[in-house]
Amino acid sequence: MILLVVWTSSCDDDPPKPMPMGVDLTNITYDPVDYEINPPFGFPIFEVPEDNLITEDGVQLGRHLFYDPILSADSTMSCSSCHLPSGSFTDNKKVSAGIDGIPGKRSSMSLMNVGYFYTGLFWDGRVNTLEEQALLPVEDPIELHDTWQNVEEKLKSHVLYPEMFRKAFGISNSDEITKELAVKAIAQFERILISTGSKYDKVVAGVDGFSDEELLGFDLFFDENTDVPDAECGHCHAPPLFTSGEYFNNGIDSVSDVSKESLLEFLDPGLGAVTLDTLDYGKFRSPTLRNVEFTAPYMHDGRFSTLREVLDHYNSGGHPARNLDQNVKPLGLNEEELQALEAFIKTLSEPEFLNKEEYSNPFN
Amino acid sequence: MKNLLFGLGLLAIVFASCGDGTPENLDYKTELRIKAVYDGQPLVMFEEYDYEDTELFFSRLDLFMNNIQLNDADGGSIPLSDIEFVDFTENQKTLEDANEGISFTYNIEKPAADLASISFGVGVDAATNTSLPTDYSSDNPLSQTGYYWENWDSFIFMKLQGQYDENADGEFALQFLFHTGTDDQHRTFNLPVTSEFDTEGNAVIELEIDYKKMYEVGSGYYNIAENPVNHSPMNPVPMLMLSNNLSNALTVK
Repeated sequence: MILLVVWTSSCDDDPPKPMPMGVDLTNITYDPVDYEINPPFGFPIFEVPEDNLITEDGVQLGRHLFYDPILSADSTMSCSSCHLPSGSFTDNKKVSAGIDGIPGKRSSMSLMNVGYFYTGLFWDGRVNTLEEQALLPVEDPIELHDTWQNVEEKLKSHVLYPEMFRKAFGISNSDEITKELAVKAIAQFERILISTGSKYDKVVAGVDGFSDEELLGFDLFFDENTDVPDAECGHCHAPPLFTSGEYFNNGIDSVSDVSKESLLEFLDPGLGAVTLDTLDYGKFRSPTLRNVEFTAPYMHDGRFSTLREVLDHYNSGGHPARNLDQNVKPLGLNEEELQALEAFIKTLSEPEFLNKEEYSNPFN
Repeated sequence: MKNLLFGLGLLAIVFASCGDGTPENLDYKTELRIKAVYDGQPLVMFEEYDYEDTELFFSRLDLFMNNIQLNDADGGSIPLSDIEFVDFTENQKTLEDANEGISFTYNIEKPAADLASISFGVGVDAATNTSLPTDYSSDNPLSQTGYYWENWDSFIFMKLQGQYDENADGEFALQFLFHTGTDDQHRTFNLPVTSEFDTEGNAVIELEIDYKKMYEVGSGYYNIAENPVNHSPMNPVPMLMLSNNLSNALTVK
């Protein structure tokens, strides 16, 4: 009885909900249509968050946001500024610079097949999902250097976006546009960036064949043939994504000795900055090698301009360190073998992926 | 008066829930605690250990265990797990962690009789080995493509990796790497246990893997310097050594 009295007497004091100030969108039809993903044969199970299923309108909204410089403080840069289709969604720069021209410290990673990367994103794995990832560049002072509060206001008052958000997410008023919905849309678009049409895929499917040189490279890559050396590539760049999704010190930087303490000398701690574990210093995510011939320069800081430089590094055995991965050691490959390896790696390319209409800039 | 009645009521509830000390309605829990040790001592990743006339340290030690089940004294079995990935690499980086080991906890029904043994495989069985990492969702340890080797058509059952001080100069210049896999290297074990369930329905079973024993060859040890890398079924000798040595290296505490 007491509780009932308290409850009824408190109802009259609830503050009135504010009337929405934005645009009423309920006259626009909300009828989401699933975006059809045809999971490529032999690829991992395609996993999508239950609260962000992919729809046609969600993808279109995400595609627009991806290419729209509205996400930056001065409207000069967008996600696509560092993730261009021509570079298999990298920018082909050593390191990326933001709207203020301040260079970052890392090279942009390819977004190809990124929807399958379940073991962390960025070179250091600091976020787990595409939705979490898309939140960061907008407010990063050396990237888009805006605030989400500001971006939300720009989106709400835009001539296009309220309707697009309505169609994608069923919001009733433009005031309901949030950063959470924006990054969901961007993530939906990124999840459709799937490449499986390389020569390697065709060979695996039995509809194409390797050249002799490419076959030698295949044998080297996968330690397939005891008559040729092991190049050990497949341990860290495992098919079908040609990344195992793990984090490794691949020996590109040197430290003074093989003590645990010397790992703190790495200029870029990589995974270590996320886990705060000294033994993770200098470890970075192994990137996909699909389309890698289009994503130069290479490594987390873009230090290698060509694939050949990468292969020469691995052939040399890298620099010793406490946590150097054991697959990084002098390989003893000769010139023919290095060229064969490069030829095989190029069979992982799907040039058509770079020009697909559905991935392109909708504002062009 | 009301307080007295309330208190008596509470007491009645409490006493009604106490039987003979054996929980009937609570979940039973089994904790499987697995530790990597080296020559009987907790194994800390990246720490140095004596090996023959020099030293080594391990930077990667992990394995799959499959078909883990408890067996009771009446011949009944209690399945615990189809597959577990035992990752000492990430879980035994400090002495404190190495003393703790890795725990897997399972809720089970009350066993019909006392525990007698625990059985499991190291690796995956032949049927599972026909599957691929891409057959599994990302939360399944078998989805890890880094633990599948294309040219073996097999999952990698165990990884033992590290650095060996070949010249005994503190440089640890020699990398060593051993991976096991393929159906003929899957090993199964049925180890007696003496653990009992306490009055709250909890039991702990401790397993140890002694990685020094993994390298025993006759009365000595494997010559790492001579053949430091083996992950090919074309040269199965080191892989077989490791797989066979599990029977000595694995103990229930």
